[in-house]
Amino acid sequence: MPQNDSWFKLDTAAKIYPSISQTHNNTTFRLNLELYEDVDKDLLQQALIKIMPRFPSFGVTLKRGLFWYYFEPNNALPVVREDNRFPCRRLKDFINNGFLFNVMYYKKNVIMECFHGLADGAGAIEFLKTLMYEYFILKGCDMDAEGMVLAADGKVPADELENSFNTYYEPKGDHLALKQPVAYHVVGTALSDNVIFATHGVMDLKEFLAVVKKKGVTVSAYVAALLIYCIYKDQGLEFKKEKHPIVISVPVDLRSMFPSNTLRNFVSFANVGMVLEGQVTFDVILEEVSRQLKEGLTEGEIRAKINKNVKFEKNPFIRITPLFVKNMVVSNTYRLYGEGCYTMLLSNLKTTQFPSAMKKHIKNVYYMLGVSDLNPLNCVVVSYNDKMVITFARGIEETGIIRLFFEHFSKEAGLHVELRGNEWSKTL
Amino acid sequence: MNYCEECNVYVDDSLHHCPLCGKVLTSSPQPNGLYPDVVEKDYIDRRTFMTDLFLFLTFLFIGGSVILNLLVFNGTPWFLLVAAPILYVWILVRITIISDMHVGAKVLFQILGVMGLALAYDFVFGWHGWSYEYVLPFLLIAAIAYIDVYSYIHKSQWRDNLVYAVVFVLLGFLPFIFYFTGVTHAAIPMALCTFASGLTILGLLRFAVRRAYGEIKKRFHI
Repeated sequence: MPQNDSWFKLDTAAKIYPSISQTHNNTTFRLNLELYEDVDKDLLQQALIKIMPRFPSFGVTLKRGLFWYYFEPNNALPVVREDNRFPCRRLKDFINNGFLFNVMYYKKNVIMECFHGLADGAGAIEFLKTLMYEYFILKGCDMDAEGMVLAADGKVPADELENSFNTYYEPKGDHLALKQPVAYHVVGTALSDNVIFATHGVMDLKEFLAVVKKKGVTVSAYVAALLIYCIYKDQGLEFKKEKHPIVISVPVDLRSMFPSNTLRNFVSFANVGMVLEGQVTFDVILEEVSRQLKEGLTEGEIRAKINKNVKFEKNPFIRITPLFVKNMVVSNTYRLYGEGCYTMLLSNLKTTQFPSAMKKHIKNVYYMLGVSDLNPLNCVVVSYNDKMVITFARGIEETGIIRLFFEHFSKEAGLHVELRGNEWSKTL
Repeated sequence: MNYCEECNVYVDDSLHHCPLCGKVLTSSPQPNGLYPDVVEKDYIDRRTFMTDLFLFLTFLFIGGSVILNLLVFNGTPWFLLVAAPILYVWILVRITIISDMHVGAKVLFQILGVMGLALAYDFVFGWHGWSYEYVLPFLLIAAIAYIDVYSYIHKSQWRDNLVYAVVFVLLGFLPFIFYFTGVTHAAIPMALCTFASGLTILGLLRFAVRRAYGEIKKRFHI
């Protein structure tokens, strides 16, 4: 049992999410594991209850203090529900007995939707892995963790609960300026509130990597450059004098850079982009993006970003501002300083690692992020086994950018592209 | 898998249209294995229309009575007798019944609502002061008693209960202050209300001080 008084401060990256999720922003991400068999709801519920004590940072609810939000242990139990609506619901619509994540099932899919303030993708995947491990055991499958899964009855190490931003903060180190140039934003017809369409493109991993390798760049760089090119073509920027750069924001899992084991947020962003006008070819963009991405991923640059954020949070004037004032200021300025600085988010989760005993039961994985009013499109890249899954979440009617993106692979590169996703089953 | 010739891609059998170009691929799609069915009609929010309607009626009645009142003014602002109950019903429905706020917050809004109603009627019918002489103390006694009983029954919510108990106890001293500054003259309701507050303070000291310290540290962390 977690102690009754063990409350958490929100971590540095999470501090902003409750404020922005109230208005025009969706700060939910979705992990969907497609299994080979229909999901057994009762076993999933049992497994979930069993693993909750192992993950105290997930067993919390969000509370308002006078100056900051905070997480408080939640004594209730999370309920497994059947998915019945659009993916990536907003926090206020899915809140589950006070919990900030939602475990759902639908036919053969186990779905976890999680409020980003609670954890980042990597943290939530650890939770989901343990959940599925216990689920498969309850189902009577032979399981072997191979050291890749956190044991449900293990001890909770303190470093899983730490705010790693604070740990690696250097008060005297370099820090970036808060103000970044304002980026171009995709123009389109907004869908109604709560409506998000997902398009998953599934390709063969080897074929996909062959296309990328031909250019001698990384997957992130290739996809980012292609996205910039598609936005530029679709939005007709070749015929306009657009002075704002198209910027792709690439989240970087800092656990690969710093020795951290935290299950809470520990990501930073590398923003790559350029001003495009007149005729520009894909290769020019690719070269520039690849160079910028390499620069953005150096340790110095990342440290400067961490220092910037933590320094901002530790500012005494900001700390003593009452929460309702913070909320008003943040929800208005985030458009300028946060999501105003990028056009689209590209999350590259690389390869999803499961022990081979679990892999036998998991057919594919589909990850997805919620969209915001300002940036109504985002992209998640993940590979599983021999498949590459590229997911677009869309909050606008227009599909032009996504079409250009997949046609690049299906027509120019001649790859076999399979599309899945959701649409209105019945329109008006 | 259906094939879309326009985009050169294979599309899941469950989709009517190609997700890229919108071309119709099939008229009888298979069930979707990834996402539940969503019908567009369900996403038209009916509540918004009802809210708009009631908002409109509220403005109509209050605005109408204000104008009528002004046009044939006979010395009494009787529009308050119309406006106060309407606003009270808003509090009752939107906050007390629909919202999922903590009970303490609902009680706080009820205090404000009932008090507003009492003040309005008292004012229109000659301003005898019965609203703050009698209604206020008995309202606060009821609130304090309610939060005490509620805290006793719902121990798991002690954090929120504690906060509202402190708020109500502080409010409970209002009649005391009014009495000794000469605003009110009725001694018995004042005494009862102060007694209820005092009793609750003793209870808080006995049961909640240690917990309250941690609670304050948390809620006021900077």
